Amino acid sequence: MIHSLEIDSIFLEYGLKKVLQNVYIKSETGKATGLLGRNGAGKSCLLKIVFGELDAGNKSVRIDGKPILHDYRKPDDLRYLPQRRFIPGFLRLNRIFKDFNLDFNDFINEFPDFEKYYKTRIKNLSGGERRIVEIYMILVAKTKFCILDEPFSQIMPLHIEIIKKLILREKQYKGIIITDHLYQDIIDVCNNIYVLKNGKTHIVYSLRDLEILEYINA
Amino acid sequence: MIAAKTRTLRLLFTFYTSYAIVSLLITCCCLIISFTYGIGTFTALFWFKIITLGLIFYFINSYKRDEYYYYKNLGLHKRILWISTLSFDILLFILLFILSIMIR
Repeated sequence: MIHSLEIDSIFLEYGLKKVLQNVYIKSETGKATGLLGRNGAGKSCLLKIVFGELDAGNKSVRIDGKPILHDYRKPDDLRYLPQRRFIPGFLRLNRIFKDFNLDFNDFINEFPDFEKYYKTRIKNLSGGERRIVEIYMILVAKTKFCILDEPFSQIMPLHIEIIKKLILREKQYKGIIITDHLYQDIIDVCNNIYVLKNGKTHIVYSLRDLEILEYINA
Repeated sequence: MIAAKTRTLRLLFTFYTSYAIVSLLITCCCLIISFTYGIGTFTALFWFKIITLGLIFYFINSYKRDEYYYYKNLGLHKRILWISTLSFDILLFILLFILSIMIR
């Protein structure tokens, strides 16, 4: 069964600045959806609204057509990777994998360098290593949809390729929404792409559209 | 079902440990005062405890707010975290206060 996550009718303003006003994004299980936009365009605000972490004046977030009217999100429906570190530093990796009901050996198959960290506190990992663990948790844990806010930041190219492979694998089972400035990587893994500009979403079909929307240079 | 409840309790305990040391230290100070001066100190100590918990709440909301995402991604909303752990902490304070008065 294909599930859908639809986001629209969102209105968000800070003072006189209208951050979001005409947004429509649809994500479906089996597909990855990219969200691009300049710094300050409102991408992270939009994703926080979808996850129920930011209150907007007006919003409509629907899963399979059913609106979510409260700020609680069932992990089976939706998980969210924020831009900033979110795993409490004192937790050890074995405990984190237990919480997310994931097998550490599967993780080691993808990232063999982490084998020695099984009982290490996550705060003792480097920024990039910590980010990899966080991405893996949100991306691979069981859910219908996952939202990844800048998953490729702080990650070295070799590991970006592994994460892209994981996204391609996981999108068979879930809907994934990704935002990042590494647009070429987004294009590689996404089935459809939106650009957020002036509070509105624009669907993108080619690199030319990104130029027209002034996201990349002509 | 049991596994899910165990995990919820484990997560609540994990969240509680992020401020338990400070809170239990304050409770211990209050108990020493109540043991020394008697039941008449209850009102003042109770409000002192509530105010310090308010400060802890403010500190965690300011400096550790990103960690709420961890719990929310596992199905525990901020409200559940605070209501559960604060209730436990205040109940523990009251029980230990009564105990200290009985022993005195």
